[in-house]
Amino acid sequence: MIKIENLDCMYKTSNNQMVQALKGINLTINPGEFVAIIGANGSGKSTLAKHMNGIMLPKEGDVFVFGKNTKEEQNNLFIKKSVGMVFQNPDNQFVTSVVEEDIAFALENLEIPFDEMHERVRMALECVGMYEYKDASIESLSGGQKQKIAIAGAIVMQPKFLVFDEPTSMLDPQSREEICSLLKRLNETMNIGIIFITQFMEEVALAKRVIVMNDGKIVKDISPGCLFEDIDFLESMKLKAPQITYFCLELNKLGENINPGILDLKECADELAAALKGNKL
Amino acid sequence: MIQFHNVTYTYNFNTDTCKDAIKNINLKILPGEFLAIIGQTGSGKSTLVEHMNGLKKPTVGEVFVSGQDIWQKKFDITKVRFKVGLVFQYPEHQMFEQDVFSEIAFGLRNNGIAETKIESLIFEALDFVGLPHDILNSSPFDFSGGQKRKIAIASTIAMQPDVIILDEPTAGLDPYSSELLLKKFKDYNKNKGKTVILVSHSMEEVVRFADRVIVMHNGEIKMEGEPRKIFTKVEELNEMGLDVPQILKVFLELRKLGFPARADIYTVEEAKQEFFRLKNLTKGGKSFVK
Ligand SMILES: Nc1ncnc2c1ncn2[C@@H]1O[C@H](COP(=O)(O)OP(=O)(O)OP(=O)(O)O)[C@@H](O)[C@H]1O
Ligand SMILES: Nc1ncnc2c1ncn2[C@@H]1O[C@H](COP(=O)(O)OP(=O)(O)OP(=O)(O)O)[C@@H](O)[C@H]1O
Ligand SMILES: [Mg+2]
Ligand SMILES: [Mg+2]
Repeated sequence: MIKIENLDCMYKTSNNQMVQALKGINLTINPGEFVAIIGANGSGKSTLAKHMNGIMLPKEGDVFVFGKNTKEEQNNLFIKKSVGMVFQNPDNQFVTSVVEEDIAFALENLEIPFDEMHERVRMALECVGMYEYKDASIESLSGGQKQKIAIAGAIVMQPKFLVFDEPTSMLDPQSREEICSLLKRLNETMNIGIIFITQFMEEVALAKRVIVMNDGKIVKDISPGCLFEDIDFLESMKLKAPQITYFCLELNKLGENINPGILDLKECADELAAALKGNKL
Repeated sequence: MIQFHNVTYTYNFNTDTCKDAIKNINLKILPGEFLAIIGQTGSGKSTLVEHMNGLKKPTVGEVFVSGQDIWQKKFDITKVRFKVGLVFQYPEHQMFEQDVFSEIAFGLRNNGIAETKIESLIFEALDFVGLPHDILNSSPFDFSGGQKRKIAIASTIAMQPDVIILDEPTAGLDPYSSELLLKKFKDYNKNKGKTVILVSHSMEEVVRFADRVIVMHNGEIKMEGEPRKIFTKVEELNEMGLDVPQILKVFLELRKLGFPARADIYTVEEAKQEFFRLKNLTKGGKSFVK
């Protein structure tokens, strides 16, 4: 469990100004949950994420991971082992210059036997479809390829929670779908808790719970289906709904009996088909 | 106008890790065009656009800007950089100054713009990307991911280049900012007659904003044409790791269910019209479902 209590965060800028990035955050995330975090640029998503695995430590308030306070130094290794993270900019995450080494690096601290380590690195790279790049230098990767390696570097740890800060922002549509189903699989088959920051509103539907941030605060904590019904609220947060939600809402307004909470394309087509056949209850 | 003539670019040329990232590219980009470039991760998009302002030198072939071979010995390549502005895929790769003011002023100063004019150009650029004026003294690194991207865009647009290349400019931007910026770029294109080149993974963006799209695959240009035409080739696109806009997929599903839906529906408005067209057909007693 990740438990955040009364968390504030101030950045001191290089010209000595203070910027308050988080204001009184209270949040509990249970093991095995799939939570999306959305919000406008600068609303505090990355800052919040970095507090979940001790990359940033609270000055005001506390963060507990399975009851252990991130502020206490002796909990450090436990917290790093429990909560993995993929940074918004993958360049900030790499520690070595060769793909395979970089993925293995995280495991070295965990005292895992060599053979198992090798196997896990291979699996992680295969999960993101980058095994053939294992000997490549990280510098020689394209923008999206780097994102995939950063994801592999986090999942190889198989922690209890994984925090993904916009992991798909530069991926092509198919890679994005592959990563999304990977996250779903990690969540469903290994019960890994997923915290997923994204600007792709279609991806929010993966989560069971959505947290909306605005100006350093959590302003909503609901299910994806309900979230997208309130378009005015979303737009006031500089967000929007998926294209099909707008479409279903429009039809709804025009008197058609279409459920605007649908987020799946096939379901949407079935719903339209039923309405066209006129045999909907 | 930008023209590629048989351009190949090889990373790590003459070593055992050498790799052709783009192969034998022939391409003509007309002044005033809004061109989109799509393609799978690693297909060569960034490598391609980095040739357009002389950031990369072709291993084989020539690049012409306004008819000039930009790698000809006597030609001063820096001239091209003022004409053709490039916003990098990762904003951090283009930022290096102490504060936002110097960051945006850098290109302007290099281009010989008078110091008295610089401030107003900077304010204009901040307005363009929707950032407040009071950030000028802050370090460009003291910002969130999306804010950094806006700063990077501001420092390129401040130069008012004839051609602006945007390498995945909306990655990490919130939906409101993405929409706003793309509309601004469309306006820059339409009303100022400037050329805009957009590398994107968003098929919705491409359909809405681009006049023409080229599809990269394994370092080659595999398709090119009007977005509305290209997106009808669903299977070919899927094979190249790409996709079509979400709303179109709903109508393609409807077709599978037996409805004679159009296969070129890209916007909510078009979708609505098509729904009611189909409804009228079914009202007439027709049944499409087996
Ligand atoms: N290193 C820093 N120094 C000073 N202020 C910062 C720093 N990093 C972030 N901030 C500020 O803190 C606030 C929250 O930033 P954060 O990166 O958490 O936002 P975000 O929601 O992740 O945004 P984005 O969607 O753009 O990634 C913003 O106002 C930002 O300007
Ligand atoms: N510095 C480099 N050294 C060696 N190979 C490289 C280098 N940069 C890119 N490549 C390779 O060249 C190919 C094309 O890369 P490029 O960055 O142009 O792709 P892209 O289409 O922009 O991808 P993305 O959508 O992920 O940004 C990739 O296979 C990549 O691995
Ligand atoms: Mg962020
Ligand atoms: Mg690229």
